Amino acid sequence: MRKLLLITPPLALALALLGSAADPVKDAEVDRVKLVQKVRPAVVAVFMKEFQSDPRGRIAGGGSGVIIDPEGYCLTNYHVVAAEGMTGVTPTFACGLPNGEMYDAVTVGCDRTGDVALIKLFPKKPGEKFPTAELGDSSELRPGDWTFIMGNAQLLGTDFPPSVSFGLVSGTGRYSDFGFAEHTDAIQYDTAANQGNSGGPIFNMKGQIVGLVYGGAPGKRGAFNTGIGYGLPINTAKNFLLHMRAGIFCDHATLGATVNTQISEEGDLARLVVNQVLEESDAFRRGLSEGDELLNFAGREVRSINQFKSALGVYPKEWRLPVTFKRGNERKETLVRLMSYTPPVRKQPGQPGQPGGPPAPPKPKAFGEGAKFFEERKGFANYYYNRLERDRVLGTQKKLADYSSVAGDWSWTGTFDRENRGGGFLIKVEDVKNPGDPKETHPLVTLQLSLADYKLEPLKQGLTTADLTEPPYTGGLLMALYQYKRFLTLGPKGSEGDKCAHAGMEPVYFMPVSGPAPKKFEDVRVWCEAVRTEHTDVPSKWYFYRADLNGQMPGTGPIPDGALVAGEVYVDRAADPCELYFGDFKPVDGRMLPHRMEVRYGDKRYAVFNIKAQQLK
Amino acid sequence: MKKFLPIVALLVLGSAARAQLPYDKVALEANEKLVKLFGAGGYRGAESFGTGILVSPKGHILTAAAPFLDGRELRLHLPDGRKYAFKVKAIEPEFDAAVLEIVQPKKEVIPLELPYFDVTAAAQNLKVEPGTWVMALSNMYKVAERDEMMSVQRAMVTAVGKLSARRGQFEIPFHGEVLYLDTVTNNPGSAGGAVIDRKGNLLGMLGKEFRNNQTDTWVNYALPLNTKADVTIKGEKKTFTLAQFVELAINDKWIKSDPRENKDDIKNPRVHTGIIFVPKVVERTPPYIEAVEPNSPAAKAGLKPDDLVIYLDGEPVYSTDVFRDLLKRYNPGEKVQVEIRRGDVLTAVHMELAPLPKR
Repeated sequence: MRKLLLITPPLALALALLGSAADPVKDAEVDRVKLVQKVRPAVVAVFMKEFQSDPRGRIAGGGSGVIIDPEGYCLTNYHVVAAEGMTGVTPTFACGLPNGEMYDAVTVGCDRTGDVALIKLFPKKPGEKFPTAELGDSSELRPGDWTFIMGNAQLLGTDFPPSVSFGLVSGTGRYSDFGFAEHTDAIQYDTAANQGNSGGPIFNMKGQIVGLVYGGAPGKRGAFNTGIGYGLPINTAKNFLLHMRAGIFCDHATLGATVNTQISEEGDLARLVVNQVLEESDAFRRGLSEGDELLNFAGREVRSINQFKSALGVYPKEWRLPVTFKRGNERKETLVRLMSYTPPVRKQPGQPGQPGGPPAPPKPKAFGEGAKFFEERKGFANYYYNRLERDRVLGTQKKLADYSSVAGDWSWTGTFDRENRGGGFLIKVEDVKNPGDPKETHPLVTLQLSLADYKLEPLKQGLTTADLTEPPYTGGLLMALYQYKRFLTLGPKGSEGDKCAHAGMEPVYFMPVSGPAPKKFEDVRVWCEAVRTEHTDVPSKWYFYRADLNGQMPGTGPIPDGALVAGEVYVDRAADPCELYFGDFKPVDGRMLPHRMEVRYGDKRYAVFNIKAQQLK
Repeated sequence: MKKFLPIVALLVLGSAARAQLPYDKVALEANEKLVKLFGAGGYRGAESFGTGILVSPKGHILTAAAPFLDGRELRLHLPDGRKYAFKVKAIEPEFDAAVLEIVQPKKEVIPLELPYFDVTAAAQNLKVEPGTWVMALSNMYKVAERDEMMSVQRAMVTAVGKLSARRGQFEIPFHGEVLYLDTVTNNPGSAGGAVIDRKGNLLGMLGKEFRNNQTDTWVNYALPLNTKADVTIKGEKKTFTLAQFVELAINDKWIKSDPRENKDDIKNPRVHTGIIFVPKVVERTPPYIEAVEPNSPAAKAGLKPDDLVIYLDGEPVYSTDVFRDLLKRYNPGEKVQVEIRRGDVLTAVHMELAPLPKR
């Protein structure tokens, strides 16, 4: 009896513990509530204001958003920030946070096709940080996963606490075209989402953002929330994130080829067959032609039109991505630059601003703090942020190597390697010798390779494309070197008509200098920020390494964060550019200078230059 | 002290049970046993697509008795993306269900060996009651094609009871016990989809889209595998379960029930709108309004001569005949939404239907 009494109290305690632990439903609920509380502060109620009926501003519609950066950058839907008439953006907003405060905000960038936009909230006090939610990986989502949606459902939260709804992922990789919007690679969910939820976050059960609500799918019953809703996968937004941060009005892409599904016989699996390739596309130049079977696009197997559209629809224009196709029994994998694709805004008669409709409403007025940070320009949602990001990139590069004082003559010497060839080389990029002489206006670029000698005066009149693309099989290395030096020494001033602009994030592939080709292009992919220039009608793109976007790259050696590591120079816009890749950075006279330059054209290497000595004057 | 060990073990187990059940795996496995059905052309207002449940390794399929099954050009997509023709093996109006069979092309000599749900076994072990969490998988809205996955929804069984619903003018043929679900599962194309429990056991088949005739709300429901129907075969009344129907149909032993008297076949609308359309001159006369009777529902709704009727409650109105057919679905006092084109502008008006005037 005594013994039993001794045992009883701990047993009772254990049983009590067991009682609570063995109620998974209750525990799951507690976990869920905790999770919602954790992410809640970052969920934003976005409001538009109009000043027509009330000069103090009246709330006229809105949506939801989520803050992803302590500086106040916030993701939402494009259709939330789209100005009426769908031709521009609403410049400024009022954003309510669950702390009950209203903040001023400005549109930064947007992606109309993907229906996503980036806005920025301004703190009440300088230096004040915003609560954020973490970005997840939407490729890990599986049908049957739990998720929850938070946001400003039906604009109910006038004091801004977001609504929460909870449900299953019903499908992934969905493609659907509703006429007014095309959703690629979409997440489909059974979770309740209503008007006002648009742009709000879809969270996984770790509290990470895995998608953004597009809004409910209109069912044939004319109602929303018919058990089916679509969301933008967050990985698509990630592809466009740096574009949007740079104020760009983003474009989606096309491969430059159309495809068809073909089934030879019943019971067979369908094949995706190319039926037309645009001659001006990179796909054409890489050898894709009619009748080829498309197997894989950017690491995703493609066997149906929907799969292809979903694989393609998540990327910005101009990205270079691996494509695998089959001709006969031969498989080929190659990198293809995507072409720009901007679907026309579907104008409907009878809509405001359209024939037969009422006049377009006046342009939305910028208000509050955001009005100071909004600059309109064609091709940009907000040019202010493009200049900001461009100058940040160029500023970092300047810290690594300031070339502004050496705008004179440059010369590099060393050895070069070409297939079955090699030897010494000399590169000279000379500026105008006598700036006082009006006749002498031609800078000179010289390249000596063992016995061969190439020269180009890039500004001379009457040069043919053949002259400009010297030496052969480089796409214009002489011109590329001239543009490279001009960009490094003059910066944005080296481009005509303010064409020097930040071009977002892009993948750049560094082929190994020696040894076999990489097994997968992905293994040699480096994420860079791009800056566009244009001089003498030659557009170029320059790539700057961002350490925080990349994991450890095998074989590339240390690349200084923010260094200019690659460039593409288009002597002929309809042909392959001359590609330059820089490596082996070492400090020389207080500058981090590359000591290796690889030159590529098409999908082939022209030469690798090992720079021994360089003189910059 | 030794007595503590089992308790500790139980505690560990308790926390392990808290970990999320891998619904994605359960859903994925169930998806392997479902097919996407497609027919040719859309019968007015009905879809030409649906969902089916594989119930034999050779390619027998259970689905709802949808109108498109009457058509030709019947095709299905297997979960791996293969496309096959299929034929209807048995349709039973009393269950509002059908059993289909894949037609293998002659060049395929090896019989199919597909993953499937054993309906008979599943019906015997069926455990479902109000409060049971389930998942519904279907190709609603034709979102998926070929090897794309079915849509997955979670739902709770809110009630098990007799079905009383209507779709348009027709009473549904099935009046047995169904599982009522709390999620909008019954959408266009959902019919014939699977309802499974959290472990992946098949519980039942999603029914068609129906509206409750008392509350005018849409009903989301599924037929459990053990639901019963009284079937009159050659004058003799017998009771079968849905699983028995499937089993017999697969083995060519199902005899279709005797046709019922169709008491629901309505010849004329029971409601009055006051719209006078332009005279019917061709088969598909566009529904332009010629005149509106004064004080009629149409006049009260603000309809005018020269308005073109585009939709009635979301259903496209192609001709004056279609409008008349659609009206048969309604009772006096019900409200409808009429979408019209006036000039270049689309407008929607609401109209309360009146009883037929006495003549």
